[in-house]
Amino acid sequence: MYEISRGPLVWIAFAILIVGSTYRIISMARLAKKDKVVLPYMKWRFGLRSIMHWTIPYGAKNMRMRLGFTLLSFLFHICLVLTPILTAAHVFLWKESWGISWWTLPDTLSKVMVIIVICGGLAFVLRRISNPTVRFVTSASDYVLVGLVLAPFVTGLMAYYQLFNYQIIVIIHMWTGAIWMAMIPFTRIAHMLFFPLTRAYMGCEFGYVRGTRDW
Amino acid sequence: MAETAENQVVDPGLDESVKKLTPETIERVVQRVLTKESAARLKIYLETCVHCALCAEGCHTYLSRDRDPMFSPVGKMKNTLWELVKTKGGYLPRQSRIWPA
Repeated sequence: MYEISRGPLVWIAFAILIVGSTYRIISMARLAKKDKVVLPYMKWRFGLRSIMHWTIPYGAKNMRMRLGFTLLSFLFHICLVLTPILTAAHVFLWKESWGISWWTLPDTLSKVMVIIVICGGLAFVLRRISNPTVRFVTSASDYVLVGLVLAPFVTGLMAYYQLFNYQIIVIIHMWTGAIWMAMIPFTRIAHMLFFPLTRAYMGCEFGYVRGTRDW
Repeated sequence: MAETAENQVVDPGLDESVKKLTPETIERVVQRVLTKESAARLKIYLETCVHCALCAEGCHTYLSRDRDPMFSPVGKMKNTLWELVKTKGGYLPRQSRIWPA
């Protein structure tokens, strides 16, 4: 089982991720061509302006209205993306398989980032349960997705500290990580693929068409 | 559905036109809007919406109704568009005045 998880499973997960993401982006681009108002109104200046305001912390009014939540969200997302790429244990595996390596996070920082992700995820779940506006539009799939995203981080931390049975935990870690990667193109997590394009379009619709701001 | 002043308004133009709608017409029009007129944008917005409800604070209707979740943008979507997309124009929400039950 370890051999399968360490080898073919990784190939399959990355393949589904890359092929699936490419398929989704291309099919969206083609659909956008059919939608007559998308491409004619896309302008670099307004698209980039909107993206810039919404990717810089506190760049948008909505972000400035909730200082704590914005901080939480940015930390969560930054740590979520950077930890799997830069953590030493993963880079070691890349070196073992492909002979390539890159700068790694110091272990302490890595642990802190994982804890930030886990706490952030739990805070999001708490918000979902307690805030009536969010609760109204929440369904089971929202909780499942948070669980799916947090599972590799929780099991990764457990594996690092060798809690319970290391062999079992590390296999669960690899499987949950692989499932998470494969599900990216086909679930709401795809917002990570599309956000530059949808954000740019909103910037153009508000900035170019209506002559106003969208941040 | 929230009992607001609007629910008691009588609108003959709307009511008479609604009586002429058939489920087939509704389904055909909804399908056309979803797949042709607003296709890419609507599809992507619906699929990337993570139900965070941050849009609520930007809606004056929501704010003026004491933060009633029914009137947040995503709440309004849930009551109407999500049902329409899920049933491809076939479902007619009972409480809504727009669709004949």
